[in-house]
Amino acid sequence: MTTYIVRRVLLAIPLLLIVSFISFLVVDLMPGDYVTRLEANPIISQETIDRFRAEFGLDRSVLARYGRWITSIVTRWDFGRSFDTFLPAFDTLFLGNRLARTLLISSTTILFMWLLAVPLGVYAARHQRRFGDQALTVAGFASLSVPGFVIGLVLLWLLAGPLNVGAIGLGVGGLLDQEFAGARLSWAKVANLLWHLWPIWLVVGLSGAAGLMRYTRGSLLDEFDKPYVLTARAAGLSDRAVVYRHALRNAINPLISILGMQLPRLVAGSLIASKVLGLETVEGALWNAIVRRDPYVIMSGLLFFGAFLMLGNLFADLLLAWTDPRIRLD
Amino acid sequence: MTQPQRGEGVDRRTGDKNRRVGGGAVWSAFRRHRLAQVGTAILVAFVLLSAFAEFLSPYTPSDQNSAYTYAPPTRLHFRDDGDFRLLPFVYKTRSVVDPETHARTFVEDKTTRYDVRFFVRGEPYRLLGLFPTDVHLFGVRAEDGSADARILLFGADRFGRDLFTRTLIGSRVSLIVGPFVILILLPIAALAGGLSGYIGGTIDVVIQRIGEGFMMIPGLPIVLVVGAALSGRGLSPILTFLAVMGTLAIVGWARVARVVRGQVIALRETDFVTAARASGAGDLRILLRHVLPHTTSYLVVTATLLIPGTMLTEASLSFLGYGLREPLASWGSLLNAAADVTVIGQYPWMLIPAGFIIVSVCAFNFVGEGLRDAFDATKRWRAGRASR
Repeated sequence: MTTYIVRRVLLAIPLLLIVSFISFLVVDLMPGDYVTRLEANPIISQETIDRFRAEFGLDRSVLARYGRWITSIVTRWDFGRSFDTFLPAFDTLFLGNRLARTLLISSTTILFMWLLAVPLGVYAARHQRRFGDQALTVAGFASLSVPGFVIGLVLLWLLAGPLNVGAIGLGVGGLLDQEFAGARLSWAKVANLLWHLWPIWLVVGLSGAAGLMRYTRGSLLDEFDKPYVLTARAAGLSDRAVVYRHALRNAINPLISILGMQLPRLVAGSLIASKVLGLETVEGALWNAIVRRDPYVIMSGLLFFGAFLMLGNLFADLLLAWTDPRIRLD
Repeated sequence: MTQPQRGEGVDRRTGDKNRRVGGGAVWSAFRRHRLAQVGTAILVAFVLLSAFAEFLSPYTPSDQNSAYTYAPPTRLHFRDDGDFRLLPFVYKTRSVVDPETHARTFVEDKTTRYDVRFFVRGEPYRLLGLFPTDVHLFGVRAEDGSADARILLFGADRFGRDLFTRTLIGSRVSLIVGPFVILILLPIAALAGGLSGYIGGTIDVVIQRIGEGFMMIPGLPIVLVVGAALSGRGLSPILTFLAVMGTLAIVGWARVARVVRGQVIALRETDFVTAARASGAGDLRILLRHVLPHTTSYLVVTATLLIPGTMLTEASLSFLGYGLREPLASWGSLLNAAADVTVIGQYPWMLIPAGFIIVSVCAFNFVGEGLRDAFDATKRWRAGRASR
């Protein structure tokens, strides 16, 4: 187990190099740089501009600059600075609890997706081709087809228009009401947090949950066809026991293996939610950096999410090994 | 349970009775799939809408009119002094500015009415890009030729452009983008996966590692960066858009390639490959002509299932302002104008294109599901259901 984790972490190094190189190339496509903006400012002398150019290595080739960046990361853990805030890149990305918010949103959204999708999927599989199943199929396909930002826009419209209770009234937008922002942890604060989380869950996780529900249903139906289920039924086990104790345990495994694949969508959804609902998350910071064309922050952000996806995949694989005894990690 | 006889069987999941085996069986299973029927019908309708967009829309997508800024959808009237009329008419609308709040509202001027007419002459265009004409399916015209007669079925945007027209024209990009991205993605994935699985060894390891690297790239952010990078370069909007969509394909190939690789490894050891090798066929020829064609069914299903996700990503990108942009229109970019709470609150009709996204993505999902079920049903039947 430990050897496996160590090997995966070592394997992550070349992958992160690939991600960092691609990120660097893409960011390098951007026209101009921070210094180009300064050139337009008549107060700043040409010498200062040249000094900046040399300092950031902007006058050298792509490969040279990439090498410089990677070297500074490896030797000094220096990811470069924001041209906007002049803070180190990661400080800009994580400014004020952003990392905690991102982790909170990601983890609770995954929880929401699973708690919603698995029971519904089980219900649909047990009532195959009956009304409940068909209704869930339609609802599932509909949810699968709604872009997250549209859910956000419709929620905003409901609040601004027909319901007219104001954004605060339904907890859409932000993560906490003003009065709880600096408050100590209390039940009221947690309740307020949850009140603000449900719109985010819908925007980020609804389509994912719909997909997961379809997978659960399909996977469970596959298990129902297998001889061991027939044996269990023939032995006189109750339907409940057959489904939950035997079939579902096996049907869950393929779902865990797609957990890792859901993460990129989670990042994308969370970025969109940050924009539409105005959340201060790492994704939101990355979005701001893209809008402002802040190269080192963008590259660090892409690298961060690359590492985030890798950790998530490792976690999913470990979880799978834990639930499925047939899988041995070594 | 009796062993099902060859030639008939019931698939438990779809309830299909498979009477035929082979390619025809897939097709007939697909044709009998209820969701696939609905999906196909919707898609055919949408393709027709977009092909005849100029004919069906009363104006041109760039037709601005500041008098109709954020005009609500024009009301169609079927009752004329209590009598029902088959052909509707619209009243002339004027905008009234509230002297205190400066909010603009549109009121109907009940004294002037315009009949909705069919096959009216309007802006010239080329039907299907070929035949020059100026006939539009419907429209309203004032006898004196004044510009007051206007029919805006979905309302108007900030520049007073007809949202109905723009939604129809925008359907072109939105519908084509999924197949376009997949057509770039699939060859890359098939070739990378094919080479990786067929040759094996170092090449396999290298391709697999690069693929894993690509899988760890956060897709939407990196495509956003590409969009941001290209937008400042003075390229034409359509070229920028194509490049951004190409990036989407390049980011997404790895997962498909991995499955193709697995299939190719299994196919590599089959008798027909050995036979081809024995008769002197080269490696590339065996891979392209004998091995990869066997992955077609997987590729077709994957392609269809990837289209909805691609469409949603395009919509999100254009909504965020880094996909398609003005003056071009796609359903996503039309929603970009509605990204503001105040806009949504006051002008909710700006959200109408979202409905088109949902319905078309849903239709693609239905077709993909139908194809998968059809292939599954026949494959399972061939493998023999009793052995599972």
